[in-house]
Amino acid sequence: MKMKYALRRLLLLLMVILLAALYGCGKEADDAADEKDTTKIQIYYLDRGETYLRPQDYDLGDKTGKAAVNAVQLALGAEPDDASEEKLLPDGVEIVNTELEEDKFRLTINFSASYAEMEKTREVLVRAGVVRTFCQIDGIRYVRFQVDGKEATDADGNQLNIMNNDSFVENAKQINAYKKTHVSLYFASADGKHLVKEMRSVRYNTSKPLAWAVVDRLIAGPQGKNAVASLPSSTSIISVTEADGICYVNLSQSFITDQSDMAAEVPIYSIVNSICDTCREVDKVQLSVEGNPRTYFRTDISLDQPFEEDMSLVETTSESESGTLSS
Amino acid sequence: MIVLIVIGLIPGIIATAFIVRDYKQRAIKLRTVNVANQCSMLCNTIATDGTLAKDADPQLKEELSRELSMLSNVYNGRLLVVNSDFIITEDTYELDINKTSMSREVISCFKSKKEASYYDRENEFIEITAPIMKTGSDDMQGVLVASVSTTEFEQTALYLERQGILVMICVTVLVLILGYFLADMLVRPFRRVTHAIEDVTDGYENEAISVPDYTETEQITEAFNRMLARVRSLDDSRQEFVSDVSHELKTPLTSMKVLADSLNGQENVPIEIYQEFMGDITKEIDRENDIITDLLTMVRMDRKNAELNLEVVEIGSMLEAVVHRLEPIADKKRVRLIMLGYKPVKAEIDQTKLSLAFSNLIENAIKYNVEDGWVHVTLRWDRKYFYVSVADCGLGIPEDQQERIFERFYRGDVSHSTTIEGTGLGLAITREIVMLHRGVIKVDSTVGEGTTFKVRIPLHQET
Repeated sequence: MKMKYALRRLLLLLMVILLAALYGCGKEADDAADEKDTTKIQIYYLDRGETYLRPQDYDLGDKTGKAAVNAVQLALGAEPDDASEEKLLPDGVEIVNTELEEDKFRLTINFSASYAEMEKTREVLVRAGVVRTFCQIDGIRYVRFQVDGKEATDADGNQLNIMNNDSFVENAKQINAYKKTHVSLYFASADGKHLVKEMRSVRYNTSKPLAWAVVDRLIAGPQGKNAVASLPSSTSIISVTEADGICYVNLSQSFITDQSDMAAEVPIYSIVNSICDTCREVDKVQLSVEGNPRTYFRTDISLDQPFEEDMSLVETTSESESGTLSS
Repeated sequence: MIVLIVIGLIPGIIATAFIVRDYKQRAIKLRTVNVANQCSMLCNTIATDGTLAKDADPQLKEELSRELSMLSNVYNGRLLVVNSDFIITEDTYELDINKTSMSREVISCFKSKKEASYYDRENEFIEITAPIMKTGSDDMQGVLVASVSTTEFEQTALYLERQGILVMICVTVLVLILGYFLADMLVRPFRRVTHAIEDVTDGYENEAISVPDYTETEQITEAFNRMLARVRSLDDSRQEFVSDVSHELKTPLTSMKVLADSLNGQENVPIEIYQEFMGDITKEIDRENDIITDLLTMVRMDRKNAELNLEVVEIGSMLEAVVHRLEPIADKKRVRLIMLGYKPVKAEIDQTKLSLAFSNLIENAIKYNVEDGWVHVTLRWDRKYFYVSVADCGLGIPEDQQERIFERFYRGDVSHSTTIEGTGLGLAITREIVMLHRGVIKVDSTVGEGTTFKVRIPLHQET
């Protein structure tokens, strides 16, 4: 009798374990399937006081590209579920048509003429909300506005720039998250053949890695007079991550496409040296363009291997004369 | 001890917490006001100089940059200038220049055209948004945003709290140490009281003690002295009692000895003389017996735990029984013994003792009466008590002796004591019994006219 009892319990236990395993597997498969099939983004609405944006979850399903754009366009025009919110576009203002240039990651939106009559404060929020909403769609990074077929302008008649997510600034909630630190930046020399070092004191938001701020400063350009920006100013940073001493920097297309006549190693080692020198824990830097590390930079340098610091390019004679402490 | 520590610490902790919180609020408020003022002034300057205008003098812009930089350094904060197109034209962090601000506070400022400030407790900073516009005008040129970190206040507050607790712990420790020593001093007078009492107990001291240091010790010593006096008087009365008893007991024995000796000393005494003397001796023996019996009764009552054997008894019939028992004695003296005002009443009493008490009273009334006199026994009652009065028309008791008749062995005038039999304990016993029942006994008397004894006993004994 005793033996039988123990056996039964063992069997029961095994069954339970088996079931749990199956359930777990099934869930994972489901989850994976979920992730592949549907994309969730956030549609922005306005609060009743018309002072800030309120995001609401929205399921894009499996739509991409123009289909996704159309779906979002429809959603933006719909009334929100929450009674304390209102839809972004005021009555009378609507999106007439959209044009997606996938190679340029750019979406052009054409608004009705009444767009220009919107109150200034409302217009800013609409601009920010629309750009932020659409930029969540895979493949869209820049948004251009048109009003009644013509390029949109601001109140003074100046053309609005092409916008992306970073064009808009919300509150600096984390003022205490900003730290001041010293960075070593390597810009291009005037002749484009060497690197010139600039030491600076910058502030950066600690919610992003320091390397991000380094590349950001490189794009912004040097402050000294005998150095030149090593990266095209149209470059934007897609992502910067660090792992195991390797920093992965993902830049936009314009890193490659906007050519300049400096030596090919200069832009690369400008980034590599700056990051390795500034961030103590980083030994190597892996570059990629649009997420793809298997591209060639200027046809002869492959980006598929991480780079290490190379100080041979650095001009030894000068540190940039403006080692100013900018805050 | 622990209670003391806790009591000492808790108010301190609360006080510290309140003060520190107060400091923080105040500091933040002051900082907000200061920065807001600076912003206000700066906004005015910008507005009047028209620094944000498209065609403004670049010199003005440079000056503005410098001013902002200075301000941000002084207050350890960040300053932003947003123009009427919502573009950030100045940023002391140099991070967001030429970007578009969609900040809620900035937009609210553009709408309300008023200054606003708020304190973000979680992220520890103050933010102030000030409109840039010319006084009197309604035109918004832009908004100045100042973010100032309040971490220093939080840190100071924490530091103060820690210091406060530290100070408090030190003070508590000090107080404890002080208390320990002071306590010793404070308690000394009480120790003296204890010693004084011990001295009296041991017999070294015979007089009243005095420790007048505190009111409390004074009160204690006075109470002790009173008790001492009472104990002494009790002691004295006991000694007196013993000497009285010895005296009383000896008296019949002395008489007996005299009689016996005289019989022995004579020769050829006729039988009649023997018979007469023997009769006298017997009387003395009886007398001695009575004294001893009464003494025993007395002593039994004297004991502090003299217990009442309580039962519910009908008083009227009890009195009747007593009266009936004493009728022979009354008859012998030709005294009329009458019960008056009999209404039945039940009370909770010790029948044996109360019978004895009333018996004594009535016996006295008979004894100290005149020939052909009367004794009236009356019973009344109300809701709480019953009242018995025993009145006689006898010899009476002089006023100066009326207080003393209840004393043990007291027998009034010597002239009476020789002719009327008695031990002198009867009334003492009666009074003890009445008092055991928590009752009251009073006497009214006039010499030559008579005496009335009044007794009042509660119907119920509360336990």
